[in-house]
Amino acid sequence: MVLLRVALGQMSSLPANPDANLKIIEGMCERAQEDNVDLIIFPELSVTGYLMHDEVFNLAEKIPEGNLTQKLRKIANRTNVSILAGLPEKERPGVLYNSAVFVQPNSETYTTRKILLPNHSVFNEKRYFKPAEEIKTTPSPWGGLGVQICYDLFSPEISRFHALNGSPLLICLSASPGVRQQLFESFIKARAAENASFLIYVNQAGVQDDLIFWGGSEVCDPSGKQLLKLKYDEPDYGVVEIDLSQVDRTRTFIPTIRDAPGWIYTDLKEAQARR
Amino acid sequence: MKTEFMRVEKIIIEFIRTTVEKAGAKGGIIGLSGGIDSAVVAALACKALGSSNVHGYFIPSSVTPSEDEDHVKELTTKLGMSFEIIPLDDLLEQYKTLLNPETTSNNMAWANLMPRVRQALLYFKASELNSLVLGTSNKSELMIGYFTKFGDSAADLAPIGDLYKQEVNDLAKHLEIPASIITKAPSAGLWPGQTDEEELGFSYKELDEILEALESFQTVDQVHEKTGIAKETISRVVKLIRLNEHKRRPPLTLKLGYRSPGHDWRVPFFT
Repeated sequence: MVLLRVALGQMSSLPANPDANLKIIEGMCERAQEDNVDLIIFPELSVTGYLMHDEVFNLAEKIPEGNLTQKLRKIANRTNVSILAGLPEKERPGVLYNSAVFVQPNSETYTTRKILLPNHSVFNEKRYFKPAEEIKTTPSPWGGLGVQICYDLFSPEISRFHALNGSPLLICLSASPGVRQQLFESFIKARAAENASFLIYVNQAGVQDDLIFWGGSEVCDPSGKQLLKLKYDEPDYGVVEIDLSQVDRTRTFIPTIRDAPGWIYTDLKEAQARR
Repeated sequence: MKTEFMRVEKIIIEFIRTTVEKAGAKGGIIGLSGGIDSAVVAALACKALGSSNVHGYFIPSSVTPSEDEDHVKELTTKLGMSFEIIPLDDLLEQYKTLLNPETTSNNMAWANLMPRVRQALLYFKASELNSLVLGTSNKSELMIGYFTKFGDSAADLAPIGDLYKQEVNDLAKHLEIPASIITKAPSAGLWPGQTDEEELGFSYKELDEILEALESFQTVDQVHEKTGIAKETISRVVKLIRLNEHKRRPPLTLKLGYRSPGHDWRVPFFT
Protein backbone atom coordinates (compact mmCIF):
# COMPACT_ATOMS: atom_id res chain seq x y z
CA MET A 1 0.00 0.00 0.00
CA VAL A 2 1.22 3.49 -0.90
CA LEU A 3 -1.20 5.71 0.92
CA LEU A 4 -1.46 9.35 0.01
CA ARG A 5 -3.80 11.80 1.70
CA VAL A 6 -4.89 14.55 -0.65
CA ALA A 7 -6.99 17.64 0.04
CA LEU A 8 -8.93 19.52 -2.65
CA GLY A 9 -9.06 23.25 -2.03
CA GLN A 10 -11.98 24.29 -4.20
CA MET A 11 -11.92 28.06 -3.87
CA SER A 12 -13.35 31.19 -5.41
CA SER A 13 -10.24 33.26 -6.09
CA LEU A 14 -10.60 37.01 -6.04
CA PRO A 15 -9.43 38.54 -9.32
CA ALA A 16 -6.02 40.24 -9.04
CA ASN A 17 -6.00 39.96 -5.26
CA PRO A 18 -3.19 37.57 -4.29
CA ASP A 19 -3.11 38.72 -0.65
CA ALA A 20 -6.72 37.69 -0.11
CA ASN A 21 -6.25 34.47 -2.08
CA LEU A 22 -3.12 33.50 -0.15
CA LYS A 23 -5.09 33.92 3.08
CA ILE A 24 -7.72 31.47 1.80
CA ILE A 25 -4.96 29.10 0.67
CA GLU A 26 -3.20 29.37 4.03
CA GLY A 27 -6.45 28.68 5.91
CA MET A 28 -7.10 25.57 3.84
CA CYS A 29 -3.48 24.41 4.29
CA GLU A 30 -3.86 24.70 8.07
CA ARG A 31 -7.02 22.64 7.86
CA ALA A 32 -5.14 20.12 5.71
CA GLN A 33 -2.37 19.96 8.30
CA GLU A 34 -4.94 19.01 10.95
CA ASP A 35 -6.26 16.36 8.58
CA ASN A 36 -2.75 14.88 8.17
CA VAL A 37 -2.79 15.67 4.48
CA ASP A 38 0.31 15.08 2.33
CA LEU A 39 -0.72 17.19 -0.67
CA ILE A 40 -3.30 19.94 -1.14
CA ILE A 41 -4.37 21.06 -4.61
CA PHE A 42 -5.86 24.41 -5.57
CA PRO A 43 -7.43 25.50 -8.89
CA GLU A 44 -5.89 27.09 -11.96
CA LEU A 45 -4.55 30.61 -11.26
CA SER A 46 -5.82 30.23 -7.70
CA VAL A 47 -3.17 32.54 -6.26
CA THR A 48 -3.93 35.56 -8.45
CA GLY A 49 -7.49 34.82 -9.54
CA TYR A 50 -8.43 33.78 -13.05
CA LEU A 51 -10.23 36.91 -14.29
CA MET A 52 -7.39 39.35 -13.66
CA HIS A 53 -7.30 40.59 -17.26
CA ASP A 54 -4.40 43.00 -17.95
CA GLU A 55 -3.38 42.98 -14.26
CA VAL A 56 -1.64 39.71 -15.09
CA PHE A 57 1.27 41.74 -16.41
CA ASN A 58 1.86 43.15 -12.92
CA LEU A 59 1.21 39.90 -11.07
CA ALA A 60 3.15 37.34 -13.10
CA GLU A 61 6.45 36.41 -11.50
CA LYS A 62 9.60 34.36 -11.89
CA ILE A 63 9.33 30.94 -10.29
CA PRO A 64 10.63 30.12 -7.72
CA GLU A 65 12.20 33.51 -6.89
CA GLY A 66 8.92 35.41 -7.01
CA ASN A 67 7.13 36.77 -3.99
CA LEU A 68 4.01 34.62 -4.37
CA THR A 69 5.93 31.38 -4.79
CA GLN A 70 8.02 32.28 -1.73
CA LYS A 71 4.85 32.80 0.28
CA LEU A 72 3.55 29.41 -0.85
CA ARG A 73 6.87 27.88 0.23
CA LYS A 74 6.54 29.41 3.68
CA ILE A 75 3.03 28.01 4.04
CA ALA A 76 4.22 24.56 2.91
CA ASN A 77 7.16 24.71 5.34
CA ARG A 78 5.00 25.77 8.26
CA THR A 79 2.11 23.38 7.70
CA ASN A 80 4.24 20.49 6.42
CA VAL A 81 1.80 20.03 3.53
CA SER A 82 2.86 20.00 -0.13
CA ILE A 83 0.97 22.54 -2.22
CA LEU A 84 -0.01 22.52 -5.86
CA ALA A 85 -1.48 25.87 -6.92
CA GLY A 86 -1.86 27.98 -10.03
CA LEU A 87 -0.22 31.32 -10.77
CA PRO A 88 1.02 33.31 -13.77
CA GLU A 89 4.71 32.81 -14.47
CA LYS A 90 6.93 35.45 -16.03
CA GLU A 91 9.82 33.58 -17.54
CA ARG A 92 11.43 36.67 -19.08
CA PRO A 93 10.21 40.07 -20.22
CA GLY A 94 7.07 39.69 -22.30
CA VAL A 95 6.90 35.90 -21.90
CA LEU A 96 4.19 34.68 -19.54
CA TYR A 97 2.92 31.18 -18.87
CA ASN A 98 -0.22 29.96 -17.18
CA SER A 99 1.56 27.75 -14.65
CA ALA A 100 1.07 25.44 -11.71
CA VAL A 101 3.69 25.30 -8.94
CA PHE A 102 4.30 22.23 -6.82
CA VAL A 103 5.90 23.35 -3.56
CA GLN A 104 7.07 20.85 -0.98
CA PRO A 105 7.71 21.45 2.74
CA ASN A 106 11.46 21.09 2.07
CA SER A 107 11.08 23.96 -0.46
CA GLU A 108 11.66 21.81 -3.53
CA THR A 109 9.64 23.45 -6.29
CA TYR A 110 8.52 22.28 -9.74
CA THR A 111 6.61 24.17 -12.36
CA THR A 112 4.16 22.91 -14.98
CA ARG A 113 3.09 25.18 -17.84
CA LYS A 114 -0.26 24.96 -19.56
CA ILE A 115 -0.07 23.48 -23.04
CA LEU A 116 -3.54 24.17 -24.48
CA LEU A 117 -4.53 27.82 -24.15
CA PRO A 118 -8.21 28.40 -24.94
CA ASN A 119 -9.09 31.46 -26.95
CA HIS A 120 -12.60 30.47 -27.94
CA SER A 121 -15.89 31.32 -26.22
CA VAL A 122 -15.21 33.54 -23.16
CA PHE A 123 -11.50 32.71 -23.06
CA ASN A 124 -8.70 35.07 -23.94
CA GLU A 125 -5.62 33.20 -22.75
CA LYS A 126 -3.53 33.59 -25.89
CA ARG A 127 -3.63 37.32 -25.35
CA TYR A 128 -1.57 36.84 -22.22
CA PHE A 129 0.25 33.52 -22.26
CA LYS A 130 2.62 31.47 -24.32
CA PRO A 131 1.85 27.75 -24.54
CA ALA A 132 4.30 25.33 -22.93
CA GLU A 133 6.96 24.06 -25.33
CA GLU A 134 7.61 20.81 -23.48
CA ILE A 135 5.78 18.26 -21.39
CA LYS A 136 7.31 17.01 -18.15
CA THR A 137 6.04 14.73 -15.43
CA THR A 138 6.54 16.30 -11.99
CA PRO A 139 8.68 14.23 -9.62
CA SER A 140 7.26 13.80 -6.12
CA PRO A 141 7.79 11.54 -3.09
CA TRP A 142 4.79 9.51 -4.32
CA GLY A 143 5.89 9.02 -7.91
CA GLY A 144 5.45 11.18 -10.99
CA LEU A 145 2.56 13.63 -10.98
CA GLY A 146 0.83 14.17 -14.31
CA VAL A 147 0.01 17.82 -13.72
CA GLN A 148 -2.11 19.59 -16.32
CA ILE A 149 -4.16 22.73 -16.43
CA CYS A 150 -7.84 22.90 -17.37
CA TYR A 151 -8.18 22.74 -21.19
CA ASP A 152 -5.15 20.39 -21.26
CA LEU A 153 -7.57 17.67 -20.16
CA PHE A 154 -9.31 17.96 -23.56
CA SER A 155 -6.22 16.57 -25.25
CA PRO A 156 -5.93 12.90 -24.22
CA GLU A 157 -2.30 12.68 -25.40
CA ILE A 158 -1.24 14.74 -22.40
CA SER A 159 -2.63 12.29 -19.84
CA ARG A 160 -1.35 9.39 -21.93
CA PHE A 161 2.16 10.85 -21.94
CA HIS A 162 2.20 11.04 -18.14
CA ALA A 163 0.83 7.52 -17.76
CA LEU A 164 3.43 6.14 -20.21
CA ASN A 165 6.03 8.12 -18.29
CA GLY A 166 5.13 6.17 -15.16
CA SER A 167 2.76 8.55 -13.42
CA PRO A 168 0.11 6.90 -11.23
CA LEU A 169 -1.64 10.19 -10.53
CA LEU A 170 -3.04 12.70 -13.02
CA ILE A 171 -3.93 16.10 -11.60
CA CYS A 172 -5.91 18.83 -13.34
CA LEU A 173 -6.07 22.38 -11.97
CA SER A 174 -9.04 24.12 -13.52
CA ALA A 175 -10.96 27.37 -13.86
CA SER A 176 -13.98 26.15 -15.77
CA PRO A 177 -17.14 28.20 -16.16
CA GLY A 178 -20.62 26.68 -16.35
CA VAL A 179 -21.25 25.35 -19.81
CA ARG A 180 -18.28 23.00 -19.89
CA GLN A 181 -19.28 20.98 -16.87
CA GLN A 182 -20.61 17.97 -18.79
CA LEU A 183 -17.52 17.73 -20.97
CA PHE A 184 -15.15 17.91 -18.01
CA GLU A 185 -17.12 15.37 -16.01
CA SER A 186 -16.91 12.96 -18.93
CA PHE A 187 -13.21 13.56 -19.49
CA ILE A 188 -12.31 13.16 -15.80
CA LYS A 189 -13.68 9.61 -15.78
CA ALA A 190 -12.38 8.82 -19.24
CA ARG A 191 -8.79 10.04 -18.62
CA ALA A 192 -8.65 8.11 -15.32
CA ALA A 193 -10.00 4.86 -16.75
CA GLU A 194 -8.25 4.91 -20.15
CA ASN A 195 -4.90 5.47 -18.43
CA ALA A 196 -5.65 3.35 -15.35
CA SER A 197 -4.49 6.28 -13.23
CA PHE A 198 -5.94 8.25 -10.39
CA LEU A 199 -7.25 11.60 -11.51
CA ILE A 200 -7.80 14.57 -9.25
CA TYR A 201 -9.66 17.56 -10.69
CA VAL A 202 -9.85 20.84 -8.74
CA ASN A 203 -11.95 23.70 -10.09
CA GLN A 204 -12.65 27.31 -9.17
CA ALA A 205 -16.15 27.72 -7.70
CA GLY A 206 -18.68 30.52 -7.51
CA VAL A 207 -19.69 33.64 -9.40
CA GLN A 208 -16.72 35.73 -10.50
CA ASP A 209 -17.60 38.82 -12.53
CA ASP A 210 -20.04 37.51 -15.12
CA LEU A 211 -19.05 33.85 -15.04
CA ILE A 212 -20.11 31.03 -12.78
CA PHE A 213 -17.32 28.57 -12.09
CA TRP A 214 -19.09 25.30 -11.43
CA GLY A 215 -16.80 23.76 -8.80
CA GLY A 216 -17.64 20.06 -8.64
CA SER A 217 -14.02 19.06 -8.02
CA GLU A 218 -13.56 15.31 -7.89
CA VAL A 219 -11.28 12.34 -7.49
CA CYS A 220 -11.52 9.24 -9.65
CA ASP A 221 -9.71 5.96 -9.10
CA PRO A 222 -7.91 4.09 -11.90
CA SER A 223 -11.09 2.25 -12.83
CA GLY A 224 -12.96 5.52 -13.31
CA LYS A 225 -14.89 5.19 -10.06
CA GLN A 226 -15.62 8.45 -8.29
CA LEU A 227 -14.06 8.58 -4.82
CA LEU A 228 -14.89 12.15 -3.86
CA LYS A 229 -17.10 14.88 -5.26
CA LEU A 230 -17.21 18.44 -3.95
CA LYS A 231 -20.13 20.86 -4.10
CA TYR A 232 -21.23 22.56 -7.28
CA ASP A 233 -21.06 26.35 -7.67
CA GLU A 234 -19.55 27.23 -4.26
CA PRO A 235 -16.22 26.87 -2.48
CA ASP A 236 -15.63 23.58 -0.72
CA TYR A 237 -12.91 21.45 0.80
CA GLY A 238 -12.51 17.70 0.89
CA VAL A 239 -9.94 15.06 1.78
CA VAL A 240 -9.45 11.68 0.23
CA GLU A 241 -7.01 8.89 0.96
CA ILE A 242 -5.82 7.04 -2.08
CA ASP A 243 -3.79 3.85 -2.34
CA LEU A 244 -1.44 4.36 -5.27
CA SER A 245 -0.71 0.63 -5.46
CA GLN A 246 -4.21 0.26 -6.91
CA VAL A 247 -2.74 1.55 -10.18
CA ASP A 248 -0.62 -1.60 -10.45
CA ARG A 249 -3.62 -3.86 -9.83
CA THR A 250 -5.83 -2.00 -12.30
CA ARG A 251 -3.15 -2.04 -14.99
CA THR A 252 -2.81 -5.78 -14.45
CA PHE A 253 -6.56 -6.24 -14.84
CA ILE A 254 -6.85 -3.92 -17.89
CA PRO A 255 -3.33 -3.26 -19.24
CA THR A 256 -4.19 -0.21 -21.35
CA ILE A 257 -0.79 1.36 -20.82
CA ARG A 258 1.10 -1.85 -21.69
CA ASP A 259 -1.10 -2.27 -24.76
CA ALA A 260 -0.85 1.33 -25.93
CA PRO A 261 0.18 0.88 -29.59
CA GLY A 262 3.33 3.01 -29.84
CA TRP A 263 3.46 2.92 -33.65
CA ILE A 264 0.24 4.97 -33.76
CA TYR A 265 2.07 7.99 -32.35
CA THR A 266 4.20 8.22 -35.48
CA ASP A 267 1.07 8.17 -37.62
CA LEU A 268 -0.59 10.58 -35.22
CA LYS A 269 2.18 13.09 -35.78
CA GLU A 270 1.81 12.78 -39.53
CA ALA A 271 -1.98 13.12 -39.29
CA GLN A 272 -1.57 16.18 -37.10
CA ALA A 273 0.70 17.79 -39.69
CA ARG A 274 -2.06 17.32 -42.28
CA ARG A 275 -4.72 18.90 -39.98
CA MET B 1 1.80 64.59 -25.95
CA LYS B 2 2.13 64.16 -29.66
CA THR B 3 -1.05 63.79 -31.56
CA GLU B 4 -1.17 64.32 -35.23
CA PHE B 5 -4.19 66.60 -35.10
CA MET B 6 -4.86 66.86 -38.78
CA ARG B 7 -5.03 63.11 -39.04
CA VAL B 8 -6.94 62.58 -35.77
CA GLU B 9 -9.46 65.21 -36.82
CA LYS B 10 -9.95 63.54 -40.19
CA ILE B 11 -10.33 60.06 -38.67
CA ILE B 12 -12.86 61.17 -36.04
CA ILE B 13 -14.90 63.04 -38.63
CA GLU B 14 -14.93 59.91 -40.78
CA PHE B 15 -15.95 57.84 -37.73
CA ILE B 16 -18.89 60.12 -36.90
CA ARG B 17 -20.01 60.35 -40.52
CA THR B 18 -19.91 56.61 -41.27
CA THR B 19 -21.45 55.61 -37.92
CA VAL B 20 -24.41 57.94 -38.35
CA GLU B 21 -24.81 56.85 -41.95
CA LYS B 22 -24.63 53.11 -41.20
CA ALA B 23 -27.13 53.51 -38.39
CA GLY B 24 -29.52 55.01 -40.92
CA ALA B 25 -29.72 58.18 -38.84
CA LYS B 26 -30.11 61.72 -40.06
CA GLY B 27 -27.86 63.58 -37.68
CA GLY B 28 -26.30 64.00 -34.28
CA ILE B 29 -27.53 65.17 -30.89
CA ILE B 30 -25.12 66.85 -28.48
CA GLY B 31 -25.59 68.08 -24.95
CA LEU B 32 -23.69 71.36 -24.90
CA SER B 33 -22.34 72.39 -21.52
CA GLY B 34 -20.24 75.35 -22.55
CA GLY B 35 -17.17 73.26 -21.81
CA ILE B 36 -14.34 72.14 -24.02
CA ASP B 37 -15.33 68.48 -24.53
CA SER B 38 -18.80 69.13 -25.93
CA ALA B 39 -17.40 72.06 -27.95
CA VAL B 40 -14.85 69.79 -29.64
CA VAL B 41 -17.43 67.08 -30.37
CA ALA B 42 -19.81 69.72 -31.77
CA ALA B 43 -17.11 71.14 -34.04
CA LEU B 44 -16.18 67.68 -35.32
CA ALA B 45 -19.84 66.71 -35.79
CA CYS B 46 -20.56 69.84 -37.83
CA LYS B 47 -17.67 68.98 -40.13
CA ALA B 48 -18.83 65.35 -40.38
CA LEU B 49 -22.58 65.81 -40.77
CA GLY B 50 -23.04 69.42 -41.81
CA SER B 51 -24.04 71.95 -39.17
CA SER B 52 -27.74 71.77 -40.07
CA ASN B 53 -27.77 68.10 -39.04
CA VAL B 54 -26.22 68.68 -35.62
CA HIS B 55 -28.62 69.60 -32.86
CA GLY B 56 -27.25 71.10 -29.67
CA TYR B 57 -29.08 71.26 -26.36
CA PHE B 58 -28.03 73.43 -23.45
CA ILE B 59 -29.77 72.08 -20.35
CA PRO B 60 -28.86 74.34 -17.43
CA SER B 61 -29.92 74.09 -13.81
CA SER B 62 -29.77 76.64 -10.99
CA VAL B 63 -26.16 75.60 -10.29
CA THR B 64 -25.01 76.23 -13.86
CA PRO B 65 -22.79 79.35 -14.14
CA SER B 66 -24.47 82.04 -16.29
CA GLU B 67 -21.33 82.41 -18.44
CA ASP B 68 -21.85 78.87 -19.76
CA GLU B 69 -24.83 80.02 -21.82
CA ASP B 70 -22.72 82.80 -23.35
CA HIS B 71 -20.06 80.23 -24.25
CA VAL B 72 -22.61 77.94 -25.89
CA LYS B 73 -23.95 80.89 -27.90
CA GLU B 74 -20.46 81.91 -28.97
CA LEU B 75 -19.64 78.35 -30.03
CA THR B 76 -22.85 77.62 -31.95
CA THR B 77 -22.69 80.96 -33.74
CA LYS B 78 -19.15 80.16 -34.84
CA LEU B 79 -20.13 76.66 -35.98
CA GLY B 80 -23.35 77.81 -37.63
CA MET B 81 -25.40 75.22 -35.76
CA SER B 82 -28.68 75.61 -33.94
CA PHE B 83 -29.19 74.99 -30.27
CA GLU B 84 -32.10 74.90 -27.88
CA ILE B 85 -32.23 75.69 -24.20
CA ILE B 86 -34.13 73.25 -21.99
CA PRO B 87 -34.26 74.52 -18.39
CA LEU B 88 -33.84 71.63 -15.97
CA ASP B 89 -35.03 73.13 -12.69
CA ASP B 90 -38.78 72.53 -13.09
CA LEU B 91 -38.12 68.89 -13.80
CA LEU B 92 -35.71 68.58 -10.89
CA GLU B 93 -38.34 70.13 -8.63
CA GLN B 94 -40.71 67.35 -9.66
CA TYR B 95 -38.07 64.79 -8.72
CA LYS B 96 -37.52 66.52 -5.40
CA THR B 97 -41.23 66.44 -4.61
CA LEU B 98 -41.35 62.80 -5.54
CA LEU B 99 -38.13 61.64 -3.90
CA ASN B 100 -38.23 63.86 -0.79
CA PRO B 101 -34.67 65.18 -0.39
CA GLU B 102 -35.04 65.59 3.37
CA THR B 103 -34.81 61.84 3.71
CA THR B 104 -31.97 61.58 1.22
CA SER B 105 -28.71 62.83 2.60
CA ASN B 106 -26.65 61.34 -0.23
CA ASN B 107 -25.58 64.39 -2.23
CA MET B 108 -24.01 62.26 -4.94
CA ALA B 109 -27.42 60.69 -5.66
CA TRP B 110 -28.79 64.18 -6.41
CA ALA B 111 -25.68 65.26 -8.29
CA ASN B 112 -25.94 62.18 -10.53
CA LEU B 113 -29.63 62.72 -11.18
CA MET B 114 -28.96 65.86 -13.23
CA PRO B 115 -26.82 64.22 -15.95
CA ARG B 116 -29.24 61.28 -16.12
CA VAL B 117 -32.24 63.54 -16.68
CA ARG B 118 -30.24 65.50 -19.26
CA GLN B 119 -29.43 62.31 -21.14
CA ALA B 120 -33.10 61.20 -21.02
CA LEU B 121 -34.01 64.48 -22.72
CA LEU B 122 -31.26 64.05 -25.32
CA TYR B 123 -32.46 60.54 -26.13
CA PHE B 124 -36.01 61.88 -26.55
CA LYS B 125 -34.67 64.34 -29.09
CA ALA B 126 -32.64 61.59 -30.76
CA SER B 127 -35.78 59.50 -31.29
CA GLU B 128 -37.75 62.50 -32.44
CA LEU B 129 -35.12 63.57 -34.96
CA ASN B 130 -33.89 60.10 -35.93
CA SER B 131 -30.41 61.04 -34.77
CA LEU B 132 -27.62 59.53 -32.71
CA VAL B 133 -26.50 60.89 -29.35
CA LEU B 134 -22.86 61.92 -29.59
CA GLY B 135 -21.01 61.34 -26.34
CA THR B 136 -18.61 63.93 -25.01
CA SER B 137 -16.61 61.83 -22.52
CA ASN B 138 -12.84 61.95 -22.80
CA LYS B 139 -10.33 59.24 -21.96
CA SER B 140 -9.11 60.86 -18.73
CA GLU B 141 -12.55 60.92 -17.12
CA LEU B 142 -13.53 57.54 -18.54
CA MET B 143 -10.45 55.89 -17.04
CA ILE B 144 -10.94 57.25 -13.52
CA GLY B 145 -14.73 57.02 -13.61
CA TYR B 146 -15.25 60.77 -13.32
CA PHE B 147 -18.67 60.71 -14.95
CA THR B 148 -22.21 59.59 -14.22
CA LYS B 149 -23.08 56.04 -15.19
CA PHE B 150 -26.01 56.16 -17.64
CA GLY B 151 -25.68 59.94 -17.42
CA ASP B 152 -23.23 62.04 -19.41
CA SER B 153 -21.51 58.84 -20.61
CA ALA B 154 -24.71 57.46 -22.15
CA ALA B 155 -24.34 57.85 -25.89
CA ASP B 156 -24.40 56.02 -29.20
CA LEU B 157 -20.79 56.78 -29.97
CA ALA B 158 -17.93 58.42 -28.09
CA PRO B 159 -15.84 60.30 -30.66
CA ILE B 160 -13.24 61.62 -28.17
CA GLY B 161 -13.41 58.73 -25.71
CA ASP B 162 -9.83 57.70 -26.46
CA LEU B 163 -8.31 61.17 -26.21
CA TYR B 164 -6.87 62.41 -22.92
CA LYS B 165 -8.03 65.80 -21.64
CA GLN B 166 -4.74 67.42 -22.68
CA GLU B 167 -5.17 66.02 -26.16
CA VAL B 168 -8.73 67.36 -26.28
CA ASN B 169 -7.34 70.78 -25.30
CA ASP B 170 -4.79 70.62 -28.09
CA LEU B 171 -7.41 69.46 -30.57
CA ALA B 172 -9.66 72.34 -29.44
CA LYS B 173 -6.93 74.83 -30.32
CA HIS B 174 -6.44 73.14 -33.67
CA LEU B 175 -10.22 73.37 -34.29
CA GLU B 176 -10.17 77.04 -33.25
CA ILE B 177 -12.70 76.61 -30.47
CA PRO B 178 -13.29 80.04 -28.82
CA ALA B 179 -10.56 80.88 -26.32
CA SER B 180 -13.13 81.63 -23.62
CA ILE B 181 -14.07 77.93 -23.63
CA ILE B 182 -10.50 76.62 -23.84
CA THR B 183 -9.17 78.72 -20.99
CA LYS B 184 -11.90 78.29 -18.38
CA ALA B 185 -11.49 75.74 -15.60
CA PRO B 186 -13.14 72.40 -16.43
CA SER B 187 -16.25 71.78 -14.33
CA ALA B 188 -18.86 69.04 -14.20
CA GLY B 189 -21.29 71.72 -12.99
CA LEU B 190 -22.52 69.56 -10.14
CA TRP B 191 -22.67 72.46 -7.66
CA PRO B 192 -21.91 76.19 -7.78
CA GLY B 193 -18.24 76.99 -8.17
CA GLN B 194 -17.23 73.36 -8.61
CA THR B 195 -14.08 72.65 -10.61
CA ASP B 196 -12.94 69.18 -11.63
CA GLU B 197 -9.34 69.64 -10.59
CA GLU B 198 -10.27 70.89 -7.11
CA GLU B 199 -12.67 68.01 -6.59
CA LEU B 200 -10.22 65.40 -7.87
CA GLY B 201 -7.25 66.71 -5.93
CA PHE B 202 -4.92 66.64 -8.94
CA SER B 203 -4.67 68.50 -12.22
CA TYR B 204 -5.61 67.04 -15.60
CA LYS B 205 -1.98 67.54 -16.59
CA GLU B 206 -0.85 65.30 -13.73
CA LEU B 207 -3.68 62.84 -14.35
CA ASP B 208 -2.82 62.50 -18.02
CA GLU B 209 0.86 61.99 -17.28
CA ILE B 210 -0.05 59.22 -14.85
CA LEU B 211 -2.56 57.59 -17.18
CA GLU B 212 -0.23 57.65 -20.17
CA ALA B 213 2.48 55.94 -18.14
CA LEU B 214 0.07 53.35 -16.73
CA GLU B 215 -1.29 52.75 -20.21
CA SER B 216 2.17 51.65 -21.30
CA PHE B 217 2.34 49.09 -18.48
CA GLN B 218 4.51 51.11 -16.08
CA THR B 219 4.36 50.35 -12.36
CA VAL B 220 3.55 52.95 -9.67
CA ASP B 221 7.27 53.25 -8.85
CA GLN B 222 8.19 53.72 -12.50
CA VAL B 223 5.48 56.37 -12.97
CA HIS B 224 6.75 58.17 -9.88
CA GLU B 225 10.34 58.08 -11.14
CA LYS B 226 9.31 59.35 -14.54
CA THR B 227 6.90 62.12 -13.49
CA GLY B 228 7.93 63.01 -9.95
CA ILE B 229 4.26 62.89 -8.96
CA ALA B 230 3.62 61.59 -5.42
CA LYS B 231 3.16 57.82 -5.20
CA GLU B 232 -0.04 58.34 -3.19
CA THR B 233 -1.58 60.25 -6.10
CA ILE B 234 -0.53 57.60 -8.60
CA SER B 235 -1.90 54.82 -6.38
CA ARG B 236 -5.16 56.71 -6.07
CA VAL B 237 -5.47 56.85 -9.84
CA VAL B 238 -4.72 53.12 -10.06
CA LYS B 239 -7.44 52.50 -7.49
CA LEU B 240 -9.95 54.71 -9.31
CA ILE B 241 -9.31 52.86 -12.57
CA ARG B 242 -10.07 49.54 -10.90
CA LEU B 243 -13.06 50.78 -8.89
CA ASN B 244 -14.76 52.17 -11.97
CA GLU B 245 -14.52 49.36 -14.50
CA HIS B 246 -18.25 48.80 -13.88
CA LYS B 247 -18.95 52.25 -15.33
CA ARG B 248 -17.05 51.54 -18.53
CA ARG B 249 -18.64 48.21 -19.36
CA PRO B 250 -22.20 47.09 -20.09
CA PRO B 251 -23.88 45.45 -17.08
CA LEU B 252 -22.43 42.06 -16.22
CA THR B 253 -24.45 39.33 -17.87
CA LEU B 254 -24.06 36.06 -16.06
CA LYS B 255 -23.07 33.47 -18.63
CA LEU B 256 -25.51 30.58 -18.52
CA GLY B 257 -26.03 29.56 -22.12
CA TYR B 258 -24.05 28.04 -24.96
CA ARG B 259 -23.34 31.44 -26.50
CA SER B 260 -24.20 34.51 -24.49
CA PRO B 261 -24.88 38.22 -25.13
CA GLY B 262 -21.87 40.34 -24.30
CA HIS B 263 -19.65 37.25 -24.09
CA ASP B 264 -19.30 34.99 -27.05
CA TRP B 265 -22.35 35.60 -29.23
CA ARG B 266 -20.76 38.21 -31.42
CA VAL B 267 -22.09 39.65 -34.66
CA PRO B 268 -20.91 42.61 -36.74
CA PHE B 269 -22.00 45.99 -35.38
CA PHE B 270 -23.13 47.05 -38.83
CA THR B 271 -23.69 44.90 -41.87
